[in-house]
Amino acid sequence: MPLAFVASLLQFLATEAPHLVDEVRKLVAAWAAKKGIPHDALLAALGPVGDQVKAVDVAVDQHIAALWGDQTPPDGTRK
Amino acid sequence: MSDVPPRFRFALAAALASLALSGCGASAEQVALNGAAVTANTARLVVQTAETGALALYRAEQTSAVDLVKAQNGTREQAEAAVRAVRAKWTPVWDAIDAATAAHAALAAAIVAYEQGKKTIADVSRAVVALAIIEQGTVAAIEQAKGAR
Repeated sequence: MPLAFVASLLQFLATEAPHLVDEVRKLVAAWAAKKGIPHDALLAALGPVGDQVKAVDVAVDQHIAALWGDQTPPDGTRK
Repeated sequence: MSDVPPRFRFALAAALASLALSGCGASAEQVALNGAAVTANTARLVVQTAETGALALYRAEQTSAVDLVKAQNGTREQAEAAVRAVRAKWTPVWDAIDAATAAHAALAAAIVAYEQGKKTIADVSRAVVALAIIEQGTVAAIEQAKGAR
């Protein structure tokens, strides 16, 4: 099942049944851990659009780091 | 109104009709309330679908910008600058989606408050009009971001 589809379902659920979000968040984290898939984007789908945008940005930053090598030192400051 | 897409024309017409009916009797109020619920559900679906598509495009644009810089033997700084440009271009879209989400929540709250006798049907109708206008703005913002590629 494509993750984008799962994220879309979670987005729908978050709108339709916001009272279930906390419980579903735990289920998604457990399911993703069991399957060994990154759950950040899935959990972001349960939150506001800002969370989803941040999840995309993080993924793109990781893509850049993978292509050029992570030059960020442990203290978090970029040389 | 001729440059307004048909579905918005329908939503605005429904909203204005419900506003006009808001001074009428109980059955007319029920019609206005039903129209408000339909507008709320339709707008939510439109914005949700637009949001999903926008996020996919947002990611694809950034990824292809990065890949292009890499293919041209560019630097990491150039890739980061390209990504920053994409992110800045899409910022109005996320603001518009946030506004649409808030307008939808306001309409849902207005409907509940009306059912509890705490608001009038005119209040509900105003929330319908606000949502219809913001929904139109959201889709326009996405189209603008897509067109600015």
